[in-house]
Amino acid sequence: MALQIDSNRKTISVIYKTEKRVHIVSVGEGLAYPHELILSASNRSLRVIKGQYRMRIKLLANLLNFLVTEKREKIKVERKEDLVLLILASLTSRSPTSLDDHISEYRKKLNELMEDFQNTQSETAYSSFIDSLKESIFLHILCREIRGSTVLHKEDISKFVDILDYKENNLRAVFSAIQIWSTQKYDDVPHSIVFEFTSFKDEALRESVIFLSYVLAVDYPKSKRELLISHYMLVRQIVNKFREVVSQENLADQVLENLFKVAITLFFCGYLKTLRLPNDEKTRYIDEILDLPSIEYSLKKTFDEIASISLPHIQFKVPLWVLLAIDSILLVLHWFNEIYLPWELSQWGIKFPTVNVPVFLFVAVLISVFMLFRLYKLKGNILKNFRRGTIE
Amino acid sequence: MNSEKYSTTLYVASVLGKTIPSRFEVRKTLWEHFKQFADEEGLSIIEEEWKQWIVYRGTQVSFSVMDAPVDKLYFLSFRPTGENIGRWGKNQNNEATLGTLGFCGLLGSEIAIPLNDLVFKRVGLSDQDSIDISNWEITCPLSRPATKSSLGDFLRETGQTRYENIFLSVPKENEFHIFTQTFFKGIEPFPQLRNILSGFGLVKGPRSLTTAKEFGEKLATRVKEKSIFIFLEEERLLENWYENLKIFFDSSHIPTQYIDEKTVRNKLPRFAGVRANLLLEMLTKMGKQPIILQPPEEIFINDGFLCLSDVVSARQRLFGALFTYSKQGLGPKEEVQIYDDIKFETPTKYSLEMTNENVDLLARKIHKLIGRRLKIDILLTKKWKEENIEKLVEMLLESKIETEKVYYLSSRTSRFVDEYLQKSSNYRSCCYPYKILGKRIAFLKTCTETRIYPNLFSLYIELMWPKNAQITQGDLEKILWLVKKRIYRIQEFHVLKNAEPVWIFRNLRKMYLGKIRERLTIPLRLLI
Repeated sequence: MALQIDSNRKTISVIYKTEKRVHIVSVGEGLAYPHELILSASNRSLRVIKGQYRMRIKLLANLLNFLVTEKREKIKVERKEDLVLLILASLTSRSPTSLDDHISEYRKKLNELMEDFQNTQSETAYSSFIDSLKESIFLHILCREIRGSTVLHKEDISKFVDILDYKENNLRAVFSAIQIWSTQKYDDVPHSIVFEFTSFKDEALRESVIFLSYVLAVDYPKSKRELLISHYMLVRQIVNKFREVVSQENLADQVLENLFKVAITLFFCGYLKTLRLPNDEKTRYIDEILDLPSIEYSLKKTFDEIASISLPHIQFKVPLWVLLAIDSILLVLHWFNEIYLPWELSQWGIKFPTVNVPVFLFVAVLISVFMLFRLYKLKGNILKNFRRGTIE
Repeated sequence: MNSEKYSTTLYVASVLGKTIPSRFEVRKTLWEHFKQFADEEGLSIIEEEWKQWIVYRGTQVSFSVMDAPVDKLYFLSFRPTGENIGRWGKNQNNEATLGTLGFCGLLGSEIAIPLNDLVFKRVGLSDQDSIDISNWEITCPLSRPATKSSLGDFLRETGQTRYENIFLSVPKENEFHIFTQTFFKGIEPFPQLRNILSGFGLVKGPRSLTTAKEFGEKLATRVKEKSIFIFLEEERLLENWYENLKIFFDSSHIPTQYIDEKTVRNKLPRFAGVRANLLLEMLTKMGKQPIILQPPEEIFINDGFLCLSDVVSARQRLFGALFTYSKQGLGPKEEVQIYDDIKFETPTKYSLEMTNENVDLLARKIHKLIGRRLKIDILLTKKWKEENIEKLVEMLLESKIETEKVYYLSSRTSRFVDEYLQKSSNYRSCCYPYKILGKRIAFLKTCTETRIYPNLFSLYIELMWPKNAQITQGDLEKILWLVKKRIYRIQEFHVLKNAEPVWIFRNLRKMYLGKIRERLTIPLRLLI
């Protein structure tokens, strides 16, 4: 599978090969923005590397530049005690032998932070520990994707999760997802993780969730739909956030750091060169899911379904607004020129007197009752659709 | 490139012999020398019980003597003095500076006294020994998107737009609750204040001052986060209110702002800079700092500064610790803790001593305040005994808190004036000259504008620990960042003189903190 990008039209096409033929699907501009975001960030990276920016920003810029262009700039890290900087630098280094040493030092530091909190029970120590854990997750993804090295080991994760505050559901879910991604021993992704990802709020973990929801969706088809909802929702949020600002010159270092992290994450998810989807995916899936963010698609589809009449064996659907229009026309006709039909009722041999039924009014009432019934079931149907997954 | 030199009114002498003469002896000998010199030059002198002044062309000049035994140095500094120095304006300060410089010019570049063969040599400042901070970074984290610029550009834009760039970057979702006892609806200056604030949020009130405490107690956390209580009154009433009740609001995490009614009447409507100061200070107290002077990455290897100070006033004798981070994004977590169980002595106005048990107790409290292993610098507002510092550093290390350097800061030690600001291009510049004397002492000129008397003098910085280390420009850059970190006083940026932690402890001394159980913790932002 490959992508063709038309940067003028801001559209993207998926060239999808099956055994027999090649499909070319125009996916629309929704998907082109992540691609553009990576390119914009990558174009900016060289200026950042050579400009007056913090070392961390420069190293992230260098990493993105390396991933996109496979070229690397030499950046010397002066602060040998800052292990995050050393790890980031090692990822683009030609001789990455030191990476494992830095990672092992970094693990030691994480454990020390945990001990600090356990010894002091201080709020500062806890928040410092949590901040470092969040940082470690992104580093783990970087190291595994680029060099295949592991930052977060199973035994460390178990210790960390044990002392997490009850409020840290997002973090707990991400740790579980990391374990599933690392071990590949599970049949499916637990519902609790899927649920946490769907309602994700922690901005510090956003890039990690974008990545994890994507890779788990690829590996675990049973939960794919739900995980992709989270993935595309977050991608959409992020892309919208950066669309306006990405070309702005004087962005603060914090914004640039987030931009490079997001661009690297989107790169890992394959938005630049190829979509890392399993080969047995259907063209329809790409067309429907990738074009619109799933949540929007799901809502639109549910509304369309609920607000339409489908007649059995006939591919015919009438949307809600047409029904409303018909209803109004019938009422007007009833007012000006009603047709009355005689209607005789008989039951158990008893004959009731003949009644003149106003046809237009009768049909209008029937349509209104149908619409009320559909609206009554709206909430239930939407929930059902979400739980089931959006696309059949 | 030629480096410009600027003369000062500071002299330094090296002690050559093994014995160091006492300050009293040196001062006495010097005074005799000056009296003779005044007699020869036809200058008048003023000699009273506590005054030893020389009058040069209308400027009264006083002098002070200070020793630095570690470096075997003696400092002699001259400063202008007189009546009501606190009320001197810019012109008076400038005239007095020129007068004092003129006197030293007449005195000569060397003063030899017949005591241990001391020869005082005049010290000069130079462009070469200065810290240029125009490239330091300013970030506006609340603008959408967050932006950054160099300090030089930011200050230029602020001047050109008359603070409009700041007004545009401040968030507008604020609640200003005004309390007063005099200036209710319709009574000026309340309507003026309301008009000014309404452009930046919702103005509520005015309510009676007496209801403020009860109102604060009932305020929901959600509202508290975006609210600030503003007290509008006459200065005298406000001072009393501040002294007694500020601590209640601070410990309840409610930001407060005290505004003198005269400021609202005379300054706020006329001066955009005063309005900018007020807004930035209020928003910083609310935890929404619109502009931040980022610590330069290359000089900040450590995680932050621990400032230790006594909080002594007529009504209280307490000890305080404050930790300020020099790493990005940790500002809102900064706290000040006040303890009433740390016992200490202050043998002089500028020194502090405590027993080993109390140092031990303090170290344990600091460990709780910081709560994790860090590398820090320590700032002291009084000179500590060497063994106290050694013990503290050792105890902190046991708690995995590594101390890199310990500094003593003073704004009143060896005050001298200089001619740096006589050159017009240096006025309001971002270049701050310094002078390192010996191994461990430096003077840093932190004001590049003169408004009030204290702006005339440089900050005294002494490296107290480690014993074998030397003070460097990097050390001074750290201190300068702590001074200019108070950029929320934007209109006063060029006259900011003291490091923020020192300023905070000065504010705390004005407050009556009442009875403290074990410790009192206040977010740092509320005390600025």
